[in-house]
Amino acid sequence: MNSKITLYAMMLFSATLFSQTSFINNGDTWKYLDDGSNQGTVWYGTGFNDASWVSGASELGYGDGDEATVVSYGASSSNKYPTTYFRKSFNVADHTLYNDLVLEAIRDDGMVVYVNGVEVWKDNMPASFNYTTYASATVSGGGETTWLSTTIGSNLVTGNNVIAIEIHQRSGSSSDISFDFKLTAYAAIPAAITRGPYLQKGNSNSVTIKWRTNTSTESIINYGTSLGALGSIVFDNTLKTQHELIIPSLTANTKYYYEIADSDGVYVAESSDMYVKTSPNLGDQQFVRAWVLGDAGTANQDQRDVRDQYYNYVATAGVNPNQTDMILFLGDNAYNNGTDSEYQSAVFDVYGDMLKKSVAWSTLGNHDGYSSTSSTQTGPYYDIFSFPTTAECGGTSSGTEAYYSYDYANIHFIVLESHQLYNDATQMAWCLSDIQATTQDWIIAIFHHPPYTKGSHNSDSETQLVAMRNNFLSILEDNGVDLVLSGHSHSYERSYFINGHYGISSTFNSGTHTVGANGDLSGKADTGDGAYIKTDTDTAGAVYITAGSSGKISGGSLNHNAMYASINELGSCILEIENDGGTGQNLMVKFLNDSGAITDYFTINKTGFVLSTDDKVINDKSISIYPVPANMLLNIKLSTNEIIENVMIYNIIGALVQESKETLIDISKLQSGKYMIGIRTNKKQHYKTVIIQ
Amino acid sequence: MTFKFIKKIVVLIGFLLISSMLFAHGDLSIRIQEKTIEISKKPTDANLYYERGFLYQQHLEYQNAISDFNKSKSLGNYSKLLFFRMAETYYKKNDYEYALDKITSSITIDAGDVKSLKLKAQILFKLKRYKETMLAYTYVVENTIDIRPEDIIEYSNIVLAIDSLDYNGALEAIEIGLEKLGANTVTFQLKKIEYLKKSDQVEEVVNQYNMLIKNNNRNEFWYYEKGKYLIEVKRYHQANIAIQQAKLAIELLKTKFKSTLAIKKLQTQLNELEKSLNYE
Repeated sequence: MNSKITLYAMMLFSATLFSQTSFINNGDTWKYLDDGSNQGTVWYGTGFNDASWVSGASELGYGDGDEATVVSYGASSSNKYPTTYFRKSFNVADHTLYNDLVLEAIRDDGMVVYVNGVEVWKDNMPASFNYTTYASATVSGGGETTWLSTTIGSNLVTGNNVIAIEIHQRSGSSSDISFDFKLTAYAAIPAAITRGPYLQKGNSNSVTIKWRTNTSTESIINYGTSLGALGSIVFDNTLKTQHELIIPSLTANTKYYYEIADSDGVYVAESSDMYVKTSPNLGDQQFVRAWVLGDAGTANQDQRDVRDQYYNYVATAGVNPNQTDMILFLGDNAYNNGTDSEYQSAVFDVYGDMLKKSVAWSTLGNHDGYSSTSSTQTGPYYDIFSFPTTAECGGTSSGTEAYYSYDYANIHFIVLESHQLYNDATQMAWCLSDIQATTQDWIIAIFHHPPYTKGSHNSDSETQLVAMRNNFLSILEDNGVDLVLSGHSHSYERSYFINGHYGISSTFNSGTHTVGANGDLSGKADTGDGAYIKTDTDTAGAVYITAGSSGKISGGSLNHNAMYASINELGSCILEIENDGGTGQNLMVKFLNDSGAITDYFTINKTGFVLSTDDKVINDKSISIYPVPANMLLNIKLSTNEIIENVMIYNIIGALVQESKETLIDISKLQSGKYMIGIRTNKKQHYKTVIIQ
Repeated sequence: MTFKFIKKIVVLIGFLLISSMLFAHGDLSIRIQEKTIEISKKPTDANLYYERGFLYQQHLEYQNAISDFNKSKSLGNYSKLLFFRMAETYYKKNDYEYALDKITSSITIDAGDVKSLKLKAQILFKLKRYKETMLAYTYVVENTIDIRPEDIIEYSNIVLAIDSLDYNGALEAIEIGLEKLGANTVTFQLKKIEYLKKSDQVEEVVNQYNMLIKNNNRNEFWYYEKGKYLIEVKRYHQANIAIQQAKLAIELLKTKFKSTLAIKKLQTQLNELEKSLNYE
């Protein structure tokens, strides 16, 4: 009996949950006004009298020949009315049955929809508008017959309801407009994912997860370190379709599985391939793998072939299979204009499996820049990605998502904006401050426009490329950059191990611009050439890679003198850092083509990761200060023939905090921290660092 | 194989080569060519002229851009965006009066558009109409959701353009930036130091350097800058302390950082600074 009751309850629940009523269908009759007049704001209210308007069946419009009702555009075909108005009333017996409305429309060009006097949907229209405002963009081709859809919370009322819609022309001379509409009311729409989930802004104790749903709903993530035991939760009860949640207070270098839910339950279930792996602690030396994609966004089979070869590579890797710590997008992620729908096709539909378990980072490409602008930080690129602006992931606060830095393990990544800000003094000042603040073992810089290329672009002459070389390379090189990754040219070009070349290709001199004994060779560790070498004392040298062939190839002369390898092949780069068997590490980059072959690779070996020790600093031939670190008492021992006259202890900002003339000093009142101690003797002045704990 | 056949093959290869070169060099040039073909098929389509005009603008062919924008307008395009792009193009051409005329048209259509208002402020600034600039830019700063560091710094520059001694006003602008974008935004901190120095607020400059020293893991460069400034303001003892702290900070660096060109240059600068101190 009980089970039956449960069953009936479930059936009733299901019937309520999924019951639906279509109140407006395509082909329905609408009232319309096609005289180009200014109707102000009264016309879309429920109390407006539209008796004088004419009626006609949808599709309504003109210019395409498929209209059921042809409306007027006025007397002049070159100066058509910007706005045409439509209204429709319908009756609802009981509005409490409905919580969600699904609106669907064919609109050419712009559209604003009102339900019972409230604006609920605006498409292809600027933020503010009036009856003279034209649509934001041209709708053409398949877009003229595509049904767009949105879901909103229901604001229907019991009794009479009014849908009012204004269609805006693209320009006075544009040839056509189209309009058709459907409205279906639901008790509740079950949430489903339409984009993502994808990971952003990962650090050692938090990560941001973003996704998009078909309907406005709550944002809930259940997470935990074991499948089947996702005992932790973060949530936001605001109803929305664009979701963004930060999972805080995580443990470094730990894998967390997650699932996505709303108040009705889980709609993206946990799985073994959907997880967050937090960053290692700052400075940790361990294996790291990054997948580097440049100019990938063609959304075609070439792009998928490149992807599939990497998926195969990482699944079968001899070392740490199935580990991709991050994805580095080098820009031009979605052709041709970086629009939201192009991002869907070229990024989310292609890399969805990887984006839900590896944090993605990106720099702005010129094609992304056709729809997004760094001068206002607006557009799809800036909407889709969330990058650190206040050093949330390490590095220095830039205050902008256009350029930023982050740390991962012992690597410092600097991401620059080369499309619009290549001469930007603020970006340069930030870059200098940032790189001079890092203590990380490896430094990698990323920007779209390559400083060296002879592929489908030419770094000798093109504005952004020349500017990036002149404005940023000396900042990066003087402060120890190891690797620079760019795209833009649709090929793979990889430099020798170089330093200090800021001229055009013909001025490159392998004798003076390469570094070390083998900087002018291949850098292939398994050949006689050997890996490129960086030591404690020989810190100069970087490899520059132009890797813009992850979606297409475009050839070019491919003969830049700074390049060891220039290859016109589809592919992506794999960046791996691992211990070298001793105390150092190897940074390896492999170019994996669309057939699965590695057609170039190199290694930079770096040693000297050991910190300077405090006692080394504090002890020298003439003086010793102990213990290290100091606690209650500080002992100063001088060499013979020196007598202390005065001891002064300064804090980190140079303020005098204690003075003495003794060799044994009570420092119990000083707070923990780093201090400078100045010791004046009868012979000389000494300055030393003291750590007090 | 006949001569005609070989000729056809040669022509085909030539065509393919030219095509690949076209495709290879300059996305914008290709897009302009494609748009021109579209226009030849629909010569009265206002949007196509607008779109090609924008491509010309990006390609720095401003006169061609203006011509296309005007053609688009003559075909019925009176959109806000068209006027904005026209204003932007005139601005880039340094024709500020024309730019102002066009941006005014854009703002007439959408009075609250911060993008247009920002451009208007930039144009007014070039025209040295500073008070109007200030009004426009204040609105931009207060109403832009994703304000950038560059916007705030430009705003502070405008304050000083109106009154070259109003450093407190400029500093207030920077404080707005710090509040909106984060207290540690480094470009604001640098700008703040610059304005504090110019307004002779010595203690505040020192405090600002101290804040940077405390907030960074590496602080050798900040100690140097602080020491240099303290010499400028004749605080020699404090300057010496800062120089010594810079030297000790370098000693504490990993050897590989000590070996970078930037640190070697810094050591030279510190030695020179110390030497100059000994002469005082």
